[in-house]
Amino acid sequence: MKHNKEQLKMIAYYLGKIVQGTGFLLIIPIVTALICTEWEPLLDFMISFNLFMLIGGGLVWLGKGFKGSLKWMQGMLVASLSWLVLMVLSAIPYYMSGHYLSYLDAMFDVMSGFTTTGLGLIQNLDHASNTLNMWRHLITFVGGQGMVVLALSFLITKGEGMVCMYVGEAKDEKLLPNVADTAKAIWQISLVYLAIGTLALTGAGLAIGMSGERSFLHGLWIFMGAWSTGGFAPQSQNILYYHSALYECVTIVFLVIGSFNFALHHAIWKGNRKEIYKNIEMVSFMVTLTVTTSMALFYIGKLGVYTDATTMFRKVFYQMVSAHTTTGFMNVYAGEFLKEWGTMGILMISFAMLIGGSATSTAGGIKGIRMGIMVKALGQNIKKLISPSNRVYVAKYHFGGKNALSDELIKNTLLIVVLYLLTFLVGVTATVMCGYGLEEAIFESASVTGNVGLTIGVTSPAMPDGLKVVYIVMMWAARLEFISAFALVWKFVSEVKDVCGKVVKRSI
Amino acid sequence: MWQSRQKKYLKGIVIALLACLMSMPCFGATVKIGDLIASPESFDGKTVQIKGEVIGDVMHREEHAWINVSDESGVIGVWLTKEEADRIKVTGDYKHIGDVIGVAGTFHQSFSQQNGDTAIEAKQMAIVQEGSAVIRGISDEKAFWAIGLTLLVVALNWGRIMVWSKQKLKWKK
Repeated sequence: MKHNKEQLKMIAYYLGKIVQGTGFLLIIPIVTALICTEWEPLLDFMISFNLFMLIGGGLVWLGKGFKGSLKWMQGMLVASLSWLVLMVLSAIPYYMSGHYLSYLDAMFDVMSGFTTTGLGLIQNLDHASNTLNMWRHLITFVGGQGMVVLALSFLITKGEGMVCMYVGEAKDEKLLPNVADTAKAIWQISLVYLAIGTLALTGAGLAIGMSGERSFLHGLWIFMGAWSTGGFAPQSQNILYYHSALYECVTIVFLVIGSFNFALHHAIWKGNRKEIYKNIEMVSFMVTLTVTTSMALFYIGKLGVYTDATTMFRKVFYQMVSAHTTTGFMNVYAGEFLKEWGTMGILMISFAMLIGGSATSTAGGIKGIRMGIMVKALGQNIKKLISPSNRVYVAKYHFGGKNALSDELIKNTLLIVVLYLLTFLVGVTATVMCGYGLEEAIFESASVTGNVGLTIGVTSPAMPDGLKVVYIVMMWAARLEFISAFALVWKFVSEVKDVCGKVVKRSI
Repeated sequence: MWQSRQKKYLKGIVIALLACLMSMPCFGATVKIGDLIASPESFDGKTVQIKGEVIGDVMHREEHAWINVSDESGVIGVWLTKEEADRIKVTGDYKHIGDVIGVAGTFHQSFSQQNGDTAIEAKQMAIVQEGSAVIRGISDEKAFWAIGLTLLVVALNWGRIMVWSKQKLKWKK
């Protein structure tokens, strides 16, 4: 009993720190509101900031003086629980803005942002304040790096449980021996790219006829959406709003870079440029992108929707890269997928969305490394089968160096892939049960499972509340790569079982 | 005397109205933007008329410009000449309701000369209603909670703030 109390105190303490860490981010929209003289949003964000501080501070106070250190299970629980708590709290300024029909819609958008999905239920986005837009994009930018990574970088500087929380947030690559240093390195990489990307997109904005102030703000927000592979944009038409090939080209560079593994970024920064050609994730990404895009181009070309080859290549290529990197930027209307892309087009883009970007990156999906490992494992098994002798084959893959393909690794990889596919099937079934067609269900479910954010038109404020809840759970579980989400569910079920058991015993 | 003056006024009003009508392009029944987006193949290459608020930016591209027009059913891009774009004075954002315009032009499912976007190539444009600034009041209730909660957080963290400010003073010294 005492042991249980200590565990709860520990979880409360770290949860409080993560809430406080995310709460400090609200200072950025508060400053934005002051600069842009947006008084009503200023009050919304002041109220939200104080609530973050009170709740976060309260949790830290409750957990103060805990004994022992955070173990794997508690680390997982902190990571998964923090995403749910932050979803509820971060929705406060969203809901207060008046741009959402219900609190559930606001929470949906927060989870969509934190998980870098990018699906939205916001109303009248074209008249939203700069303050609200800053918060929307900040959520997706921080979500890409991870809120636990944020807390580890600035607030939680010591403790044995740091690794557990880090892994619980689906980050398994340590760039440096120390987790706190790894977290800081992830932030350093992201902030350097933030400066470069904002500058490049501001320039592109000016070149396409936008004013200086709006070019800068759009540049900053679109970079955040691209780098985090979130896909949020400040206008309801998303990237289509800009009507510019130049703007699309600049965004495509940053969304592709954003989908790379932070370990790869770190290796390149350290001068190991060859890693970009050898890395199994890069090879896997290039192969699957080429195959899915070529097939989509071939079948959409046969339908003759686009009048010329340049237009078709531009639209299809942009959407396929956006899908494969799990960004979700759109330079077409949602309805065009269903009306113009045909069944094969929808299937190819759904495959790309499910495969996704790299591990330990801002991207979602099954991930390139798992695709690579599965192919290598398949090759290894075929070699074994056709081998005339009892020769032992051990396949190797390049990931920061040569690594042997162990049975344990193959087993773990297949487990995650199966869980992704099961989640996808749950999404398809739920969507079809709500009255949507199979093609729509496959597309939307692939987008939610892969944390992509492209929509075929299913996600809207009018969709059933039950489906919104299913999508929230799918986005959350897929982003955390299931393990820490399952840990939370398992803990909850076992606690309920314990309580029920005690009640039954007493009644007997 | 009074009657002849009244007749003069009436004449003036009728002439002014006629002049207005003659100077305005002829706009018939408008189509909803949402319908254009939902069934682009039905309208492709046809002349359509839309009415809606200009939102965001007027993006000049040499002798032309891109604007985005929104009605309650959707938003669509409109490609128009620089001269016509310059007539738009207010665009919609958080602080403004943009000019409401009427546009008559060719609807393109895929506007191949301009990026291949689904858009309207304007032939005529008229300002139906001028845009204006949105006056937003501050909610007393929100102000009360914002100030009250800030004071509570400051009071609860007073000890920490004092320690922090003393440390800062030491660093300065």
